[in-house]
Amino acid sequence: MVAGVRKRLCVLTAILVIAVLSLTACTKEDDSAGGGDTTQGVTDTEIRIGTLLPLSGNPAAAWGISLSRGMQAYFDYINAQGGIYGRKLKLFVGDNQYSGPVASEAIRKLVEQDGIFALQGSLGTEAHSAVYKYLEERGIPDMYILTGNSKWTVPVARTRFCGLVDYVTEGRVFARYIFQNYDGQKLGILAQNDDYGKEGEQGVKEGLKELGADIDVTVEYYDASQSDVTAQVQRLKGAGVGIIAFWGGPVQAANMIKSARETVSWDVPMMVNGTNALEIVGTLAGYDNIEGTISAVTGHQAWETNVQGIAERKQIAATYAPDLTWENTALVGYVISESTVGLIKQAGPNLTRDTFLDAAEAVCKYKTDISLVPSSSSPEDHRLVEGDILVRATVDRSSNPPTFRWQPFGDVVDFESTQDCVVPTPPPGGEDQPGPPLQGE
Amino acid sequence: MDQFIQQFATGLSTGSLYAIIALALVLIYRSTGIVNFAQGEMAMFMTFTAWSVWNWDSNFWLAFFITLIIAAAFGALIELVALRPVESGPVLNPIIVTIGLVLILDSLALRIWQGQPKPFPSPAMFKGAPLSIGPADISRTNVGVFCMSLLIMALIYLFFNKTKVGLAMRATAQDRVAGSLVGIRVGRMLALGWVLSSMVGAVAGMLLAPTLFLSPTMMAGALLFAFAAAVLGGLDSPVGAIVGGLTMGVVQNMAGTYIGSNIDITVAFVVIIAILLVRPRGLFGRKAIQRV
Repeated sequence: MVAGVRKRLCVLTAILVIAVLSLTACTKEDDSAGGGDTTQGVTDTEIRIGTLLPLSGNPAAAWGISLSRGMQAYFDYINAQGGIYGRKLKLFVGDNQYSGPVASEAIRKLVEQDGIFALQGSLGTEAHSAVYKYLEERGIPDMYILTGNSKWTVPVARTRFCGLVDYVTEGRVFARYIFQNYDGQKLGILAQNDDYGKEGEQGVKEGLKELGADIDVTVEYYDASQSDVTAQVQRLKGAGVGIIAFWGGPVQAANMIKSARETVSWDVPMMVNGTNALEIVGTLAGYDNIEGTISAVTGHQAWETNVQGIAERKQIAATYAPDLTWENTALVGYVISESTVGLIKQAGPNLTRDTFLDAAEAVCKYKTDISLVPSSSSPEDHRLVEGDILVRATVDRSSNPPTFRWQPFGDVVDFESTQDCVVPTPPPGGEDQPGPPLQGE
Repeated sequence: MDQFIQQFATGLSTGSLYAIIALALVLIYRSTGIVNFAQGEMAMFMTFTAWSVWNWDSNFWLAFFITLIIAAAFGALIELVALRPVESGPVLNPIIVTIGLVLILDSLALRIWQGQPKPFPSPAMFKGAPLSIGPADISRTNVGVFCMSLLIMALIYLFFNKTKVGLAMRATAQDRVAGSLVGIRVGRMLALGWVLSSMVGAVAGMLLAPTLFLSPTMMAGALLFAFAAAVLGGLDSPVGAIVGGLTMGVVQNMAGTYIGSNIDITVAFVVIIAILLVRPRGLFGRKAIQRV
């Protein structure tokens, strides 16, 4: 009996050893393919780009689906014109379900099976935290991450770039406005009790200190699992604050605005961080309640079809994704693809990870026809945009039903750290390729 | 002092949200002996149903009552299809089934209604300026939820203690074999437990949705507190669910005010553990005595 068990154990061990050996062999093969004379994900006719978005299992899926379709629409548009240097763009969408464990499985499929050249526009702080080191170790470009944690760009990793204004910088932008309009009053910060909220809090406090503002700050936190923040709002009122700045999710932002106005009957001015400059926050909070609330953006929004660049993009999206609802998330997806294509163009006909990353590290005061804040990057600075323009929630009651918009006001507040940059030379023949105009063109 | 009174009052209203979900949990536990992990998702699903009905007719109370009927059928269906086959198996099986239901209902809701959170209507009587009680302001919705949870508790108490069906349900939960020996239709009693709990869950969902907004994960945060409230009050006691829920809300808000809002939840759960150390069956739970 015992001997039989031992024998079986031996066989099992042998199978395991063989399995492990063959797995290592596979990985080695992959490595050599990635680092050899051919670049993984690039052939003469195709470039494979991945993205990691919530597509199911979480309410954020609504954003993920819209983003991925915006990305796809732009790639289709470029492919219809023959691709870049004859290479067509193929998008591989991984579903991270907004969760770390799911993301780390999905990224392996994208990298090891689909063999992507680069990842773009990954969404979800927790999800991306689970994969960013893996991408860094593998040398896969991790482009324009769609969450604003400062850990993506501090310290700088050669392969990783942030696509949003980081929360600390945004906090400094808010601090400027608070200092200019509410100096001498008390500021109440309502922050999600995690990295996200605390970086915003840190940014505001740093910003106020830089300006030498005479502003007392009181902070309230809420747990990300809680949607109701009435008690926190009441405590801020009890503390006598004159303005509130908020860092957190859209549901809590809406709840804060609604409870301040309705439950607490309090007409305190409020600011919500830039990821809440969404129509949905107005819909949830109620238009009457949100009117006057301030947030921040970096470019023109999907509804501004009077801006030519927006109208053109809307037209292209309507051609290549006829049933896509044209809203800010779709526009962001579209713009992320546009940025990747711009870098591929700038990298020239010899596309490798190095030429691509060199292009990404040499963006100089670049503005498209829809951006409001210029983009710059360098080997020491992987934050594409470091400024915002403030927007105010406005309700137009002349239409029926009333329409709600985040209207830009004031000047761009820019903390760009790359100041002495040189506009890169476009590669030969670059001008003839489709895609966004190159610098110096 | 004003701050104390205000936070106490807000604690009571937050607590009444927990209490009403805790009541639904207690109902199932009391009538079937199962802890239903899918309670929050069932309530969410019914709230989405109410939203669809409301979109079709836009009369809140009509949508409310139609949803109650659908919720009753929904509860019975779940018991018949998902729970009945595993009821005679090991205790763990029905619990795993309820966890499976969480995933199924979540994905279904996401598929049918999409993930974007939606605003949910309040009935007209809950709208308007908050009520002032001394220095404290409480929203009409919260007062409504508070009254509703007391009303449901009273109805459950009367049902279990003053009606024959209620007695039969309690008997079934305690001993199924003995119950069926004296002629109780055990299957029906178990289904009835799910029907009632699904209805209470639906009421909870519809009352909470104007505050928490409608989304597939709307109940996730509140459910954790509701579980804690139910355990604190004693899992089989409707009165305990209410007292447990209110205690949770008040402790959480007091901790948030006087210790720090970044650890309010931690403090609330430490208090629960402390209470359970002294009273392991919960505040109002009865001691289970088994003859050997």
